[in-house]
Amino acid sequence: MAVKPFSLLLLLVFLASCSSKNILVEGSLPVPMVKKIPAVVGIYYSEEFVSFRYKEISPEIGNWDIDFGGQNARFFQLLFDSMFEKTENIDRRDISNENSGGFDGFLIPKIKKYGFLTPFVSGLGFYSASIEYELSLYDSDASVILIWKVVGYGKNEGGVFGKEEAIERATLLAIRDAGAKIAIELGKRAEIESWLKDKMGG
Amino acid sequence: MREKVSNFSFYRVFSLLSVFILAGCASSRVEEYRSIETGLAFEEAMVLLGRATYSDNETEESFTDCMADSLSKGERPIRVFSQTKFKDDFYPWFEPRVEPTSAEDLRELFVQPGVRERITERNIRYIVWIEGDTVRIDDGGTMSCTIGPWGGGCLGFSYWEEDASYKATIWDLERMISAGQISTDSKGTSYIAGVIIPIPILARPGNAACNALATQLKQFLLGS
Repeated sequence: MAVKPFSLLLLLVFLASCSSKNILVEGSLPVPMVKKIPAVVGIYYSEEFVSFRYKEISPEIGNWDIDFGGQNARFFQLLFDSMFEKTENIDRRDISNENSGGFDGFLIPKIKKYGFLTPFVSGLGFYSASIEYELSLYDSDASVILIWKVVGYGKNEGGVFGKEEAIERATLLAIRDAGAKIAIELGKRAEIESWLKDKMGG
Repeated sequence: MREKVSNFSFYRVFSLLSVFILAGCASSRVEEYRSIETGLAFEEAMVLLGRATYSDNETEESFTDCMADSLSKGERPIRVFSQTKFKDDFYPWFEPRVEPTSAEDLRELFVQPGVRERITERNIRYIVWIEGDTVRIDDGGTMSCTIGPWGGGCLGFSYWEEDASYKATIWDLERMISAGQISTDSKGTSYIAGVIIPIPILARPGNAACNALATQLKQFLLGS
């Protein structure tokens, strides 16, 4: 039996829509232009943060595998490098009350939640993604200065055949959005101002 | 001979259809408000930024791309700085969450480290904010299509009317004030007639609004 090209095309389109969607988040990494916080900070990037990956299996929207591909960690490295006077990547064990190692404080960024919506689920005409970050800042004797939750949000219109690209773009915008909030607001927070005052001996 | 006539008829019908598809009708209305005199030196540039909101209505990137393309071509081309590069170069100050909402915010923004220097380096004289979107305001008719192993076909008629409404707000970075506003409203009705194959007759009000707004913006900045 000869298979008609049109039927074959329909079959291929159907199979493509059912297959698992693998997304690798890529895109430009801007360097923020903000006033530096006058502090030397050790930053611990956990393995989970550096290679964050989100998987969802849903009968409604199919299987999704979203790999942040290091883009998230690279972005935050650039962000913190430009926000603080000096930063250095450290190990989790370096955060202790015995030896500050010359740091004024320690920072641990985490991804607490990630989620996305397709137009099929939300009923809206665009794809959206949100990321909840948690920043934990400790002073030089490892006591907590601040635990701050920041939610980044991004959206993209996408196209009929561009749902993977739309989710990738929305995710990247969510990372940027959270980064913008952190870059602008962290230095203005009362806890940070008080920490800096203590550090200066005031 | 019969085959030649048949081919000729086919091409004639095909050409006619192409004209219909490309030349759907959209009407545009443009309004302008000017608060100061403007001008743009040859080496100076402008940047077009689409207003982003977290609601459903957001200026499409394709619209600002269309305007940038239209402004940078023609008799008196304008140097249009890339929107993506601008947002990266001035990160985080033009992200949706924190972008300036009025020209008065510019003074506060220019105090931030590096902002004024980068604007000067890139020779950007104007920021033009584009707000608006294209929405479907009416539709009707019915069309049904069938696909089977033997092939497929459509029968019926449907139409939809779209309204493309956009506003450009021009900020003069040299004088740090709003130079004026231009708004455009385009409407158009598109049709699809299904006679075995669907024949679209598309009006493109978004495209009409883009061209109308770009032409008026060029006149606004350079003078007529």
